[in-house]
Amino acid sequence: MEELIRRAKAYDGDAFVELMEQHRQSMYKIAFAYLKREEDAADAVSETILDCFEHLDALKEPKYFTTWLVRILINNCKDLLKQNQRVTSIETLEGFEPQGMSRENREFLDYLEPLPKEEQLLMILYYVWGFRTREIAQIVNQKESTVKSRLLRGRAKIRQTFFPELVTGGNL
Amino acid sequence: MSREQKEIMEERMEMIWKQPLTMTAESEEKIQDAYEKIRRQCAQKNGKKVHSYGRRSTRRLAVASLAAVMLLGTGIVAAAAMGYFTKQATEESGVLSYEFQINYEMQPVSVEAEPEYLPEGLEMGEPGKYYSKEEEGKSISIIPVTMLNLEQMKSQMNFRFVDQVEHTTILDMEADLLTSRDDQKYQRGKSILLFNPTEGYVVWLWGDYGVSMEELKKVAEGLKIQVLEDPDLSYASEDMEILQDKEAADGGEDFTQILAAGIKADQIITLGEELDCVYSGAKFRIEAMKVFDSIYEVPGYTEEGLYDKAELTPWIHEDGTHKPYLRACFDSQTGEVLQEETVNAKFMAVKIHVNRYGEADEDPEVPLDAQLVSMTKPGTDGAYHWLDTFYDPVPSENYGLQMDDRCFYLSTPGHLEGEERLHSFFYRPMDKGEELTYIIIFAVDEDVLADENTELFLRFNAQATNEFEADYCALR
Repeated sequence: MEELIRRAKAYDGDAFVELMEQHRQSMYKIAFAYLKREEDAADAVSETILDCFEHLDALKEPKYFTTWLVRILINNCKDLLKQNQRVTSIETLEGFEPQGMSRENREFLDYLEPLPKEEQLLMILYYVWGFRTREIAQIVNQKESTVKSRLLRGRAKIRQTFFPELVTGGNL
Repeated sequence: MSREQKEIMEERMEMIWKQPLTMTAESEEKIQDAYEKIRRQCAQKNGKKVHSYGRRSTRRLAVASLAAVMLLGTGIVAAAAMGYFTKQATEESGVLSYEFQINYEMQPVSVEAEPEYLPEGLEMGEPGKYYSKEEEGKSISIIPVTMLNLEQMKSQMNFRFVDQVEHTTILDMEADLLTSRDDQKYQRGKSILLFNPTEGYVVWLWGDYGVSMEELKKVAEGLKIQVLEDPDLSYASEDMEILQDKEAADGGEDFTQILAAGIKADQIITLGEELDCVYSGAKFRIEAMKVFDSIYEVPGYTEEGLYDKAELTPWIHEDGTHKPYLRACFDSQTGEVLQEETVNAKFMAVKIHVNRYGEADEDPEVPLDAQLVSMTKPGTDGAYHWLDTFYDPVPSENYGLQMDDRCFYLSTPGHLEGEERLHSFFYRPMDKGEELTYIIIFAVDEDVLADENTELFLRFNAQATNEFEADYCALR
């Protein structure tokens, strides 16, 4: 990845695209979790791709690329969320329902449902991106102990909601 | 819950988290549009003609469709004779371009390429990337380029600064060995391309400046290539016309026009005026700028404010003055080196006042750094324009103090320890209503400082916008 970053910094467009493609799915999952609508998630990801390219020079340490990228993405999601609040409320009034969502995407949203937004993000950063709790703490500006306890809570909620047989089965 | 049950749950959880999401055609188009904009910017920066990098024109597509209709019945025979692709190499303005004609009749495949030989000391990083932890410039990438990749790349592969091309055969495939001009001095890599039109792929091996062509060739000769058939793979060419229509409607020359328009007078913040960075909820004002011969003369200077002391030390004398270094002048359009010269530099200190007026709930940290930008004086259109050339240290100098003219010193760093220092040094937590006065330092070449035909500006990171839409703070 460091080579791709280096080449991308030298305006190698193909290298940059390859770099983004490596993270596209993971970025999309965060954006989708935040924004819930496919087209908004795509807006956030494409905006992040452009921002990332624009500010790539500011990244001095390639090994922090992913944390840096996620930070940009989260900011963009928050911005879009703010912009969309008014529109969303109108759509809700009109009984707006997303149409034609794929099974995978619907399942993903269902899976996030029992979790508060903050825990959704932590779970994605942990399970999808593979960040360590220490890295997550830096990304979301929280103490590592807070991240750990929220991850535990998130896991417990998912377990209760989706794996009740495992919970009720317990140890006899 | 037993250990076994816990493992089952973790496994299921992982499976759902890692299951790929689908993207609608509209969403895909948004992403591809972003890539296209970036490719255009890269092409512009690298001096490629924007048109040459563009998608196939609608007109050409229309001709191709007509030809397909006319050849109906004989198309499959022609396709078989052609294989997956044909290619043509051309050289223009120092860029070697391979243009591929893809045979869309043949089912694309995916490809894996693993090296059975690697030079000593190289280890695997990301898949397909091999690097040395000990030696700079010693890394190799092995990139299988499928027909779908080629389609995404607009059927082109472009290589700059090519010195020589050697045609040979490797693993029974036609192979081109590409060396770069001044590869050591400018730390440019080399490439080997293996073309396989019969099975439908190209393998691109890229070796950095520390890898010899002999070594890279050995890696190529030891490749284990596996072709994987996948009936679900399909070309995106059906969407191409929609994209092209959109591009035509958007105006294909947008980027060139934006670049030529430069920066309008209303984007300039004069000395003493406030710059409102809405994105960060902070207002910045340049209070003073002064140039010093020695960095030690900068008021309040401490080593703590250096982002990376190790980058400064080799470049200053004992008295704190900057040592001369070898600089290259590049053509902004072509990236070609126009001139090399040894130059002296001084230290430009800028005193800035920032007022955090926004809520700190969303992001409590404000980036305090800035980039130094040179532009022409206003032209007859009243706008400031980017220069036709730019300066950079010759790469073999290993001058890493200041990347892309971003400040290397901040008197009030936000983070001083560990990893946070590395990636958030210039970000400082600020409460709503908090104000701060601080100093940033740049190293600026003496002739740049003395050039009366150019203007110097700061572009603040806190604006978080692109260089065309940003506001620029005048320094004098």
